[in-house]
Amino acid sequence: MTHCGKFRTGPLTRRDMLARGAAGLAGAILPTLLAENTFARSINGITNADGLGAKHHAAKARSVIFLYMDGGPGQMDTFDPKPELQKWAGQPYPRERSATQFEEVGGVLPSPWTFKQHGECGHTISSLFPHLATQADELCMVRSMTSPFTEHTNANYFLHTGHGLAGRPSMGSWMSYGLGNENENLPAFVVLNGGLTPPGGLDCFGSGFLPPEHQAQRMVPRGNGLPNIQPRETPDHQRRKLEALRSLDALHAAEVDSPQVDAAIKNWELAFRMQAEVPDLMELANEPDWLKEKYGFNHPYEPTRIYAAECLLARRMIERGVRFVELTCPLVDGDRWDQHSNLKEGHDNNARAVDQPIAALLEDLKVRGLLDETLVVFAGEFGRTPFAQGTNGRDHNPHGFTIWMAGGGTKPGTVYGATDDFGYHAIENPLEIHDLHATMMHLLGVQHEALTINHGGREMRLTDVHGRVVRDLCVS
Amino acid sequence: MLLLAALLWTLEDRVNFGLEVRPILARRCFACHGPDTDGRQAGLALHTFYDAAAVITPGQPDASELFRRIVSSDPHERMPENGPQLPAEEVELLRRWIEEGAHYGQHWSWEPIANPDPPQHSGDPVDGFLQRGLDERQLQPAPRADRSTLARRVAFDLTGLPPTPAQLEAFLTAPDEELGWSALVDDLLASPRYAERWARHWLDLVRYAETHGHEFDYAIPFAWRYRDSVIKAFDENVSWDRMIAEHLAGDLLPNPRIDQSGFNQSKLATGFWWFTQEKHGPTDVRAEESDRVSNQIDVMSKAFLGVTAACARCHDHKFDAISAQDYAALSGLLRSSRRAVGFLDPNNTISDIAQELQAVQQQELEIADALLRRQTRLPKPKPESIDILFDCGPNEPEWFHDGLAFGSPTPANAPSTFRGRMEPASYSMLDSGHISDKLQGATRSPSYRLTRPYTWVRVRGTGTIRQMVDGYWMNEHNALLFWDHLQNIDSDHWQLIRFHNVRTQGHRAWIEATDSGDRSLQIDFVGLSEDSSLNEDDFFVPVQGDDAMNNAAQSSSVFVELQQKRRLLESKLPEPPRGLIMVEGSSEDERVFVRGDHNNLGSPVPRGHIQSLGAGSVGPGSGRLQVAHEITSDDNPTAARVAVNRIWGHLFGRGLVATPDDLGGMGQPPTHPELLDHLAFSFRENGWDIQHLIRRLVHTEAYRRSCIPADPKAMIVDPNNDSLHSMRLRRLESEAIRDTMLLLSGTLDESRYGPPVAQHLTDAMTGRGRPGSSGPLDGAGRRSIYLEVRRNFLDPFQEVFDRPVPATTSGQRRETSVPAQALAMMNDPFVHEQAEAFASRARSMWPDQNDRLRGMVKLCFGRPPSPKEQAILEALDTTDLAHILFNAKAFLYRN
Repeated sequence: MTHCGKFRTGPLTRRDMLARGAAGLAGAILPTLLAENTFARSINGITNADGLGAKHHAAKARSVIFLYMDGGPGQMDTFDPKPELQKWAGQPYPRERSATQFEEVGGVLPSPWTFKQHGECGHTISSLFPHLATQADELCMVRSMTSPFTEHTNANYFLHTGHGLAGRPSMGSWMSYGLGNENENLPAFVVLNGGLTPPGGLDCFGSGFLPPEHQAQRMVPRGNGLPNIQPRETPDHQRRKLEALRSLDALHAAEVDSPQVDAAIKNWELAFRMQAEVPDLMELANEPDWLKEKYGFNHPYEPTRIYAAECLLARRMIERGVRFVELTCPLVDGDRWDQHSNLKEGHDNNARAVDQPIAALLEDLKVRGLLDETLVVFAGEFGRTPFAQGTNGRDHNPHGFTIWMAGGGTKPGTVYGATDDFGYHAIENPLEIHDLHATMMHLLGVQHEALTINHGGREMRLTDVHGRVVRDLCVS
Repeated sequence: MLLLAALLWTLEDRVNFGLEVRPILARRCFACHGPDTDGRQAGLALHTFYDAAAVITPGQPDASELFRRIVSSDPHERMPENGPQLPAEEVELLRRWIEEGAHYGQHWSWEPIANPDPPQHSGDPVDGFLQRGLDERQLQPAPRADRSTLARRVAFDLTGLPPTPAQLEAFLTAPDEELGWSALVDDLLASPRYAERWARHWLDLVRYAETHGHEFDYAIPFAWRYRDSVIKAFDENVSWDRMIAEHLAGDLLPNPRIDQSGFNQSKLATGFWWFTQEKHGPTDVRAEESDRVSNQIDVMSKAFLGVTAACARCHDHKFDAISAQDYAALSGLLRSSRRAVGFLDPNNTISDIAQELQAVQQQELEIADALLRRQTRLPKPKPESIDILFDCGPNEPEWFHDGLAFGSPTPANAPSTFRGRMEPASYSMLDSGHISDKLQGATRSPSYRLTRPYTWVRVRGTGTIRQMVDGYWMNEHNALLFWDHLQNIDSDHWQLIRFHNVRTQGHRAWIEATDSGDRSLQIDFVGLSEDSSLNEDDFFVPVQGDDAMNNAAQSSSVFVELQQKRRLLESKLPEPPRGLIMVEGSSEDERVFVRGDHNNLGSPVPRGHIQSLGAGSVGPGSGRLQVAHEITSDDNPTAARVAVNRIWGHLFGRGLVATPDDLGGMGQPPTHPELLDHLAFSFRENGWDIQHLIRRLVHTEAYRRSCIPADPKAMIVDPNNDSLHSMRLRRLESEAIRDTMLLLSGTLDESRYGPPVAQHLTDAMTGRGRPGSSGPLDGAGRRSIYLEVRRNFLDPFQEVFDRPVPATTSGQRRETSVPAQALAMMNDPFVHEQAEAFASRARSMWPDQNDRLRGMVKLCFGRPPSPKEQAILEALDTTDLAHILFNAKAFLYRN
């Protein structure tokens, strides 16, 4: 794998290291050891951005928090009310329909939850999300999202990488590649693992053909976040050793000229710096009790407590300059949002786990003035069918579903697009995942057509040959 | 000649359906227009010409509706519906294919294995085939790597450890590199380290684990005997086809593989079926069984066939020719088989003694028979409220015995022994003391349906009686919901025991009786009843007549002599070792699960292989053995391709097919289809000889190329290095890193086999099922393959360096690069401990500091330090040096 030569290479490649010699290590590591908190807020502080050339316009957002809703919540049960379902309750679905994943099609299934309008904007939100409803005015809803895949694994790869098969870079990797990190002491792309790994596995978080250092570092929302963060020797001692290591590795890197080795060298340096930063990041003792209460740290339901920690840590990460944080769902009683049966119980449990923490996160970001520069995205890989699977479940539905964004330059209080009376197909302003990716990148100041890497003779990008920026979703 | 060449050229230039067209159709179209009839849209399918004829006019793309729809500019017409437009190169391929006549064939991996003529080449045909790919790309291959690089490469690839100093020295100084290379390779292949390394690859295929995961992570009993059977198989270079046969049906093989300790290794290989994740207390026990079978089929089909047959559980496979019927056929093999923690008999010691005991028994019974004529029992009819399933008589379907305790039923009134006392049997019965109380074993009844709310079993003696419902066994760990289905019996008197079937009406069950002690267990009958209470008095049959028999017998000198002989023989009986295996059960076909729903059953399907790969139904018995033979027969094109591709991948870093567990429609096509076929063909010709193939591949020029491309345009023209213009650089696997640190520190304990070393537990490893105590930090110095694999407490060091989670077949390890790996090498107490041990060993080996530095670097990198390296490392004290060498990329990667 090699770059096409169009981009500025990162500061820690073999050649740079050779040029700098062993002294380069101290230059990179020392300041961060000495300074309490060295992260840079400004765009100028960006480091380690291989694809920096792609930055084309002023960014609204600095970082992304991706709330991945594993399994696909039902749009007609959450943010897209469909009173028509009530009229047809139990009757055969009266219109033409596509094949579903399981083809166990039952009658039309009305939502078991009630909907009310919330906030000044009047967003209609179901009783599944009483806490989130208090933040209605921050939400920018897309009710017309679509995906080409009805099966989890393909749909997850597509949502994460813009491609239905494994092996492409995840959007967090693209952001890391394109924008670098604002904190040299933390990975640019972090997946906070609440317990569930999406179907499709770690390939959802891979760096594909981007340099391997752009893949996600997985962390858990408890303890030290990842093992072995505590050094076993004094900083001086460790630094002396690692300086020798860096020099030694530079010689090897020069000999083998391998992106894997280059990435490993960068990871060793990042790991060294993380030792100081991660314990501080994970230390929640100084967060006020009232705030933790608000996030749900004392909630009687364990999955809610787990997700509360994920949300609070996500805020702390983007505060420290992490570019892209993805939260995966905690394991609730029963399945993730994938309710092929027992919709009521399953969606109740999943909503219970995430509702309060997400609401607290949005409010917390707002209070701190961070919401404007943080793009929060809430999305599953697809939605669910308006008719039952069996008697009380819903099958996969990629033809029209709801996702929402908040902050980061999105237009609050907006409802974009619409599905039909049953909430089955997007009929007004249908969007593709590629459009979501293009818009997210736009909000981060990146032209999605321009952030590319040459792979196998082709300029590859997150949006492939597709995607359009949906300006109606963005604040001018 | 010229004409022929031209013809071949044109033939080759044609679009290849299986390799080029079908993958496009599969990926883009089959979801709605594929083999699965249920999901099919507009009644149109594209996987056979017959189905697609309506939309394809051979020779005329523009007259073909298929082509018109994929290029249409009208979004309402254009296909795929709602999907992204086909890329131009795919459109062009489809156009050419239709133009050339739209010839259909099978998916490439289902086509028979060809024996393509190798291109003109002076070396191994492998290099000839690869050269063709390089020529097409106009690339120069990298030159051969230097000897120390090669020695380190091949040692890690073959043994997971660096070469020994002697091996290294011999190769470096060999006057003839080729001869030296062969000697080195032979030496490595003969090493026990080779078997331990390649067995670990195999364990990835069968999701090897020693616990069942889920809430409490209960143990999988004797899993390690399976692990050892795989290591021994690689030790003995058992052929690949034989390994498949052993895995599927090692319990049924006529000439099983017996190891030096006399254990039947073929039987133990069947243990792989049971490394499933298992819950306790399932509310729907049939669903639990369906999930288990689905995982078993998933693993078997991916590991050996390279197909994802488990997809067909709910629907005909969307992309491959595997129907829901095929899934049911495979399920039938497993439905007709059972799990057993089997009673093993190494060297037949137990059965030899049992034979002698039986002779004693015969004589005893002859004496007893005469005496017993004075006694009798008058059978009385059983109450009508019970339906007898098994009267345990001679004319009934045979039970399935395991071990030597149980055997043919004892007829009513025949002489029998209980608790040392002779008497006429009451009813006919199964008796684990029919030869000797001391023999251990189990017996399992034929299957029956739970048509009544209660199952009753009349028993006496000491042992365990279980009712197995849908094969469920986890109540041996946790009684929840199945508390009464496992009952321990210890009684001198006949008693009735009862199993509740209220929640499991209609389910399939069998009785399992186990005697694992030195007292006998007897079973009179098994029955079903509506009655929740039966009275033992209604069944009890008293002995009629003279009871002087036992006194008479005891006084007989012949009898006393026999008793002495018996006691002597019994004292020689060893405790039977146990092993987790698969055994035969009642033959029973499975039904199609309509839309994957085990409560919605379609018609039964004769058990057997996937139809398009096999010969149809099998039997009698489970049919596992027949299917194993079909998988490895010449008629099945997938198994040999899968095998050679896996072996290739372990040596070259990636298979010729990059998705080694899926050679189907959703997998990747091969980079070198002819080379793959050439290898598969000759692999079969050579008797599926694994070491032969490894030896051949490491002797190719391609294997011996440098990692550094010679051609400046190589990484631009071929960034994935599909052409193998240079060797792929690889990070060492988790096991190799750990084992090598132990080796260098001098603490590697190379003893082999046996129960695993308990998992070392860090503070962060919390949760239910956490073992009460932690294993040692250094895993007692054993190679990683001997460390415990607890699903809920996987080793963090192994995990961070990408050992796969044991969920399903994993034939290709990921090679991630994340800071957590650096943190492990920098700060893990194990790494520090090993560095310190390495340092103190080095201090004693090399008192001189300069020698020491050079010696340590050579052990880690396989070569002495360069002057520059020496200058960098000189400043470090020995412990720091050891630690830094472990962290060096030249150590962690093999080039």
